[in-house]
Amino acid sequence: MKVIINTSLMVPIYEQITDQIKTLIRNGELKENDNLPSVRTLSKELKISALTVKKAYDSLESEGFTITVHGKGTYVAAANPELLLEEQKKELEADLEQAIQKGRRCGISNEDIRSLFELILEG
Amino acid sequence: MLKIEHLKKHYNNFSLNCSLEVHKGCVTGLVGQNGAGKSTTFKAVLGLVSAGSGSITVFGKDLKDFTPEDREDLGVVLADSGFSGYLTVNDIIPVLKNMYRHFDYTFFTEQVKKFHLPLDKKIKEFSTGMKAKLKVIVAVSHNARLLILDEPTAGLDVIARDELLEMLRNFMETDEERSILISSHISSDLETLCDDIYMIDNGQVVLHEDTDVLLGSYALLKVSEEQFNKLDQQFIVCSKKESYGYSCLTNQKQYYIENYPKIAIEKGTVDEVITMMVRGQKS
Amino acid sequence: MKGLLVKDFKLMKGQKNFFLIIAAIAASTAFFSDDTSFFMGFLPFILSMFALSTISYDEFDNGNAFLFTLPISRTGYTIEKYCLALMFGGSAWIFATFLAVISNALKGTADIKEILISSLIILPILIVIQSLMIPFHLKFGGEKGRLALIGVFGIISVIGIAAIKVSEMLGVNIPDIINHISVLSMGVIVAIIVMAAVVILLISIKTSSSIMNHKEF
Repeated sequence: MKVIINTSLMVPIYEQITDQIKTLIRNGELKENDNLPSVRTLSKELKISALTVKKAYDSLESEGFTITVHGKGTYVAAANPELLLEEQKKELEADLEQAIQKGRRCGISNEDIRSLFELILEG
Repeated sequence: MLKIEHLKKHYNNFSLNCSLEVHKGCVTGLVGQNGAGKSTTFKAVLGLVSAGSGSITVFGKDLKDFTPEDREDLGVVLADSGFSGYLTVNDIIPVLKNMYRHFDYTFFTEQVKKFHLPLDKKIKEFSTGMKAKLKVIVAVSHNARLLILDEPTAGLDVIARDELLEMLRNFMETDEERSILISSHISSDLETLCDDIYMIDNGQVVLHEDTDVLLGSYALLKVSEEQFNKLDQQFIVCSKKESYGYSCLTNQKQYYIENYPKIAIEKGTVDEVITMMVRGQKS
Repeated sequence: MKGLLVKDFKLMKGQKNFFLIIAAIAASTAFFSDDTSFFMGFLPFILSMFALSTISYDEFDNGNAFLFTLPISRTGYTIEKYCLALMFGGSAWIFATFLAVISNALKGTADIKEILISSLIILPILIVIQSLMIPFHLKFGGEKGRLALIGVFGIISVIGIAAIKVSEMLGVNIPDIINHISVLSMGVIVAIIVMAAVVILLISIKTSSSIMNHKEF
């Protein structure tokens, strides 16, 4: 499975895994009923603790992205457009926050940032 | 799988008091300085030395009641002991066949071939890496339920270590109920393989944490004297005087990232955590 | 225990040449000298020492630590060593006796009965020596074991000599007593000696088993 983790980031590893799997689901690379690799297999591939992978899988399941059937493994759940939208909104929020921070670092005032934003929205 | 409760042993200048547990399907690491008590703990678990006071249960059975049949479910690697160096791999095969009901001859020979181990050369003529690999191959070739590995990667180069760890990962992948107790000095061994880690210092367990938490929530704060005095010490586990001020170990990295954006924060690694736990002052 | 036997046989394989030389020496002394009793005692004694050497192999390079994590029991290990000693010593004893009978038949010297009797006396002596050496070796290790054993033999010899001196002083005549005893049938004497040897063997096994059960690595 195409998951790449970066251990030097401040972002916890399990979060990197859940983010990437969600992306794969959104892109359609992981389709409904596709089987995710077992916890041990993924931990072997990524060279990390199995508990980390389990944490990621549990998180995905609690958010409704996957279903785990005991004895059979973990499957991608049916696509839920609302969930996807939520995810995408969250991403947008993160991106906007980053942009605003950048503006502030450069010394641009809040008003200027807002005007810029309105300009882009209308354009 | 394995439970040690208050294993106490007294030697002349050393006292061990250790409690630890290895759960089913888990890889548990044991780390600590030389002489901290790791080997003694292992020897007690393996029945090589008496258990002093305290109890040791393996597979739910008290170690005192262990039979040779029970030992077939154990795979063991010791750093300084193995099959007689005067034997060859071909000599060992019938020995293993006779000792283990579940010896997997095909798997064993496959692995030996994979790692280019000579079949007719005396083991004492093997290189360090080859000896280590052979020990691990023997341990994983009879469908053991629990592996007990005392510094299996000692003295190995990076590539050999990687190959060895890969063997262990494959072992775990084959059966979800297997477990491993492994001791090592090498941080990366523990970080890339273990699910939880025990740290022993001076005969006592000083830390037990999931690897995930250790790598994710632990961090090293590097602060000046001034910053140290203003620092919220709530989540500081221990600290150490440095030339620049202080280094502090926290288990709530997020808290300090959010509230103290200006201070230098480094990821917690097993090495750093051990150093701080051993040489730092508790808060 | 089978695994242990396989291991020890594989280790002994390396000593193959030594075996052959010993056998050759034995055969040549049998045919070229008139003294048959020497090699009849010598050969089985040397070969049963091989069992002790496997104990040394086990100790070498801290090998015992790993060995006792394998699926074996301490008692099983002990018994395997005795089996080895008896197997090696026993087969050597049969071979030596056979050799003695053949060579004497060919040379026409001495009579078979005497050879068989000395052979039957050597067997219990062999058993007793192993019964003493194995526990010593297990308890004290190779080097110290041998020294300890020499010490014990020394003490036994001293006691023996002292007993003789004392009996001389008291006017008791030992050779007379021995002649008296040989009035009894030889068979009974041999049977008694063999039984005593077996009892000593059993005590030895018990002792060794206890030593191994308490040993730490």
